[in-house]
Amino acid sequence: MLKNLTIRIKMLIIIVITIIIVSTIGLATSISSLDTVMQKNIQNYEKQAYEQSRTEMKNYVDLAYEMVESYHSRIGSKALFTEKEMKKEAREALKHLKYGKAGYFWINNSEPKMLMHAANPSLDGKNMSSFKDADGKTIFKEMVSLTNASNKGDFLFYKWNKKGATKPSNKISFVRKFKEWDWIIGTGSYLDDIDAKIEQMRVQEKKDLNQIILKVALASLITIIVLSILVNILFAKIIIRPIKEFEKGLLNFFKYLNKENSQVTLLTSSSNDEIGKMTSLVNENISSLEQNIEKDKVVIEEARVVIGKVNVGLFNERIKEKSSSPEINLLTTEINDMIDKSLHNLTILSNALLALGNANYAYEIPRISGLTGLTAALLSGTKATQSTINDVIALIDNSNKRLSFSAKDLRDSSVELSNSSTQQAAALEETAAAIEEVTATIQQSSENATKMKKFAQNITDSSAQGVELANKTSSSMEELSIEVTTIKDAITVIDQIAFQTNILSLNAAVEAATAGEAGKGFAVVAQEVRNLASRSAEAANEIKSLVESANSKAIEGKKVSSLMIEGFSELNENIHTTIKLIDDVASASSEQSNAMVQINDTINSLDQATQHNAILSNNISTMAKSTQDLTTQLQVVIDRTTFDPESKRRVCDSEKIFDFAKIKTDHIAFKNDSFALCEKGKKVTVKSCTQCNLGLWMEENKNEAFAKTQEWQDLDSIHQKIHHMIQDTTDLYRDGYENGQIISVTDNLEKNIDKIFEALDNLRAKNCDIQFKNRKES
Amino acid sequence: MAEGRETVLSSDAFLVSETDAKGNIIFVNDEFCTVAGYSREELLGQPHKIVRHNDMPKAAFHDLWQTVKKDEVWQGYVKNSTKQGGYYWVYATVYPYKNAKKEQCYMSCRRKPSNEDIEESVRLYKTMT
Repeated sequence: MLKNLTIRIKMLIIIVITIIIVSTIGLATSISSLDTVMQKNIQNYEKQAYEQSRTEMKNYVDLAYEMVESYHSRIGSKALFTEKEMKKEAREALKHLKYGKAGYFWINNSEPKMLMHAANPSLDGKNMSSFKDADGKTIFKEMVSLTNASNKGDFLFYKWNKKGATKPSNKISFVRKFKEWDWIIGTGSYLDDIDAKIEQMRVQEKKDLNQIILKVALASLITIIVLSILVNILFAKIIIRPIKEFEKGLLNFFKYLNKENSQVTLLTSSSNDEIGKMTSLVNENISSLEQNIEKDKVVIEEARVVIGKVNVGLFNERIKEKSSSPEINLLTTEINDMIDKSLHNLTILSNALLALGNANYAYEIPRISGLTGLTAALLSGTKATQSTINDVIALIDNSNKRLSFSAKDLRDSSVELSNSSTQQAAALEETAAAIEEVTATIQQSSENATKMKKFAQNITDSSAQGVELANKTSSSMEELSIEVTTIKDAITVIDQIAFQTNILSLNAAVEAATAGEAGKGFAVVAQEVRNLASRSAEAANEIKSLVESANSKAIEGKKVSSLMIEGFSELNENIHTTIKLIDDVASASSEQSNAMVQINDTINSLDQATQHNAILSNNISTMAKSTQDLTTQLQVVIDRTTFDPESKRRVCDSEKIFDFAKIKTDHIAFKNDSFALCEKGKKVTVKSCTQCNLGLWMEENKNEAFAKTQEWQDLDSIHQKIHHMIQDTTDLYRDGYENGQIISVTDNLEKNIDKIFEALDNLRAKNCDIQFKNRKES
Repeated sequence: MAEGRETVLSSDAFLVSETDAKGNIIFVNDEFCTVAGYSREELLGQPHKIVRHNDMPKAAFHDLWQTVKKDEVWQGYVKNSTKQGGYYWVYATVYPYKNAKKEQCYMSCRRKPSNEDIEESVRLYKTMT
């Protein structure tokens, strides 16, 4: 509220408040001293009144004490009164002893027990030890201790109900102990009367004071009005005008600060008071601010120039000018640092790309610690490119080497084929000549067969004659056999005649012997006859054996002729077969002759083909030669590049080169996409490691042989880590964590992106090892 | 063994803590404090094993420290205890890094593991010492 007021009003308020405070303080001080004086009067009065009351009470109690003492002195001196009687009388006496308006006495002992109470006899005989006044004071106990402490007695303040009153009143009592009887004698006085008098005095005092306050307030008000007018006039002249000028100057300066004015003018100072001092202080600051602003302008201009160069790729300048502002200096240091780092990173990237440009594909691209995001993606993208080039070159190298061998083989083979073709052509010519001879031979064979057929026909006729002759021979032999049997019969007759002749000769010899000498001649004749008979028998026997032999020969002859017939019939058959064979040979020959014509044709076309082949093989040889030249050229090109020899281990499966290259670049893109979404307060849910292309590929290939290897396990573990790290990065970003905390994750993430590249390469090499092993086994 | 109550993390829970090279806690996020049942003041400066659960085999932490001391990221399933004697399972990723003063620090980011992973880990940890 105060803020909106002008200084003039504020000053007026201050003056008014000051006057009010001063007059209030003055008034308060006067009131206070007046009050003190009046209070003192009241206190004096109070003191006197109390003093008077006390003296009175003390005097009355001393009187009562003396009275009791006199009663006590009467005991024993003349033995007229007993102690009991004297105590009773003394009690009675004090009971009736009164003074003033309502003064009375009481007696209690040290128990304390009330022995007598003149104003309230109902208390007589009561134990008062637990009796408390309105303030909780055990007043009778205090009386006991007061009287024990002082022989002359003492005063005690407490509260006591006045007779007939409902509220307790302040009371003062004096008590003194009569030791001989252990009697504490007391009397009291209510302070009400004194208090009422004092109260009346106070009321009067207040009245007086109020009148004084009223007068002072009135005087103050008049002073305020007069002073306000006075001050207002003076203030406008002394303070407001310089302040207005000051304001004008400041406005001018702020216009300069806000770039509304291009030049600043200093404030005009007309006095040496606070405003004057303030003006010169402000002027000093304006001057130094102006200098600083000019310096900042220089720094910013230099920064603009440096950044302009950086924007077009020139990193060789830094911001060297210094500002007086530490914040701007911090900013320029940071900008310079950014240029240094960017230069460093881009140099590494440029060197890598130059190495790739110079076909140095084995160039080891260094890791830049702490680098992440797009810049890291550039570097890892270059690495992925390098890896793919390495793989492709390794594949080309492998293939080219094999192609080179094949081209050489092809060339050798084609030369061989050319030679073979020439040989074949020569052989074919020889074959054609041979075939001509064969054709002639076949024709002769055919003619011969016709002749043979004729001859065979002739043989058939001869054989028919043979059969006839043999039949005749057979029947002649049969006839001969019959004749021989007849001869045999005749010989049997001759033999029988020879036998009988022999017998007759024997009989004649016997008769001759009987006839004696006469018969001697006869005996000789008989002997001769006997000789003749035996010779006849012998002859018959010989004939017989001759006949038998002739017979057996005739039988044999018949058999032979039968055999001859059979033989002729067989011969006949054979001749038929032969004729048939000869027919076959004749037809075969003619077929052969036809075949030979065909063979001749074939050989002619074979000859043409062979010539064609010879031309082709020459062409092939030329092509093989140029292929060989091409592979040599290609090999020269490949040999001029430097590529990672490790790549050769993993390019057995050419399709996988591009699959894996895609997986690599996918992860770079995946990281870029996720990081691009990073924003404070924004939840980004990163794809899980089973949803990305690598995850899908792994799920597809989990049953492959290479999925059972440590390399697969390593890949799986790194892959999972990468997804968690990207999720952690986005969450740390979301929750506004510090750069250091976010970089702790991204730095590890980049390391693992390098590792996943290695793991993918290792897995591919492992896959090739497995394939190679399988091929070897099968 | 008497088991305390299990605290199951929400599916998007993200518990973060950092320790110095000696394993003393230098940072914890609110979610970590809530789940562990400690106030931030109770945790800061304390050794991280204040939340370690007895069921965790020593070999697991040995592996963790060996990995991060090689400047590599460690991942694994961890059973932690709460101040109230309960427990909770997390899937932790521990990052080694150097802070602005070049001091070695370790940051752990934890998430909710799946029930199958927890069962698998319980089985595995029972076989370890």
